[in-house]
Amino acid sequence: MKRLRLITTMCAVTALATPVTAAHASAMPASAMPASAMPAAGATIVVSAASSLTEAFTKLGRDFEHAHKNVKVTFNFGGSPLLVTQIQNGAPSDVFASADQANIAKLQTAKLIAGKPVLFARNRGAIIVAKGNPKHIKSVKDLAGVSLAVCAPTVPCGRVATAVIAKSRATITPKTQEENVKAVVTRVSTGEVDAGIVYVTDAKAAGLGTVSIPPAQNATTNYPIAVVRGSKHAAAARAFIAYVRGKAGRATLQGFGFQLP
Amino acid sequence: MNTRRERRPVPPVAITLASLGTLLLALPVVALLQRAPWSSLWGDITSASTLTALRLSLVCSVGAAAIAIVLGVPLAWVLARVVFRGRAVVRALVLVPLVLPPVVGGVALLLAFGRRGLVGQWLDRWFAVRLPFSTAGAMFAEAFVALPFLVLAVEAGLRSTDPRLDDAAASLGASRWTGFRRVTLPAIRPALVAGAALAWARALGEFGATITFAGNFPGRTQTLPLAVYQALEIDTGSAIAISVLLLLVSFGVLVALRGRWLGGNQ
Repeated sequence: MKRLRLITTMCAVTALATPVTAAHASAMPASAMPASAMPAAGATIVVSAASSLTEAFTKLGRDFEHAHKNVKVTFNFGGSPLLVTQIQNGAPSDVFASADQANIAKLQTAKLIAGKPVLFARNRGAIIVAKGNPKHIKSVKDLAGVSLAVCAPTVPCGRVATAVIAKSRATITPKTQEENVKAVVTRVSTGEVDAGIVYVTDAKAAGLGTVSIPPAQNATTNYPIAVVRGSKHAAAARAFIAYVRGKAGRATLQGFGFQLP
Repeated sequence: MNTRRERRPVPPVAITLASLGTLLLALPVVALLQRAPWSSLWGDITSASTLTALRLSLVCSVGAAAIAIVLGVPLAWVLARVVFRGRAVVRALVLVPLVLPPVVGGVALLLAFGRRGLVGQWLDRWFAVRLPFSTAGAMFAEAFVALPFLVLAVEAGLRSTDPRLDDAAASLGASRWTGFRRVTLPAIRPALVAGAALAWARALGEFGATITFAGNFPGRTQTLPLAVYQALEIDTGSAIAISVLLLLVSFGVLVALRGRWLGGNQ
């Protein structure tokens, strides 16, 4: 009996919530090419970027590595507020790309941003549905009668969804509020819900059915990017930001459905 | 429990490692309490959203513990007392939720009981029952991860009682149920209470399986751990406050249980 009691007490401590971070890093393929024009040889920069940038930045990172053979880019994708919390608690990061201005402002207030953030992209909401649109969803109003997944109001895509729902003036109650936009896509692609409100860019990348939202009923969000203060590879970080804002970067972002500021 | 023994010196290595182990368990709790925003704690804990999550957490964890008892006691009894082919397989299955990462458990639950799931599609089609995104679903996910704790404790309790007591009861004319209720159950009561407490505590802290299977919606499936996770993104202070609340609730109930049903301290 003594042992059982011991376990009971121990469990009180271990049973406490220890949430895992949902961010996932995707490592870039290593290039075996010799170093060329960049200052710090063999630098690896960590880019913390909003979930909605996953596809576009993965491509941009690969292109950037081709153009700068001595720099490697590693990504940490997640909901913008989660990335802010990570950076505030000392997670190694050289570049931060947020899906809204409020979250990067939090890091500015905490003096964790070097220089001034610059806007590099803009995004807007879209509805995703199962392939073939079995529920015949044509507008935001039609979401009232189906099961719907949105982002939590704490993340930028959740604020877009909230604004879109408010503008429709319909009574729409989502089934679930996900921590990042990709989780909403998963809820729809696995068929657990009929529809989701995501960004145009995620709708494009998901390969599911898309119902577009007219500009008057839609909401937008601006994406700022900045070097994280204390970055050991500030030069490489600035080079990455310049690449994202440059001609090639802009073309890639537009290709994935982003608008330019 | 044990008789007085000769006092022997305790090996310093054991003391050192035991202290490190205690530190590993204690330091996070200390840090949590040290960083807690004591001035705004009451406001954070009694805010409408936290109270909603607390109520939901209590409903789901108590429900999950109840499911674990109803299904787990018979399962433990069968494992302890009945010899059958495949017993080893069933026993291994009981351990699965313990070793499986909770998120994987949530995915597996979705594949089984989701709208397109192995069983879920029929539940949906025939009974219009949809577990994901419902409070019942959150309870269900918690019961899945909590069940092993109850089964293991009760099975261990049953193994340490003499099955001949059941036979004796039967020989005196007691039915199987009467024998179980009057003889077996009192004998395993400490194990049952400990198992139920463990299962409940595990259910209360459940995060991964719940958010994956039941989603996150305030008042419906957003339990306290999910509320902590979401609060952490916007307001660390409030996240720590809710964590302190979870700490107090789990400690309080476990301490109360110990005092009342497990026969005091020591």
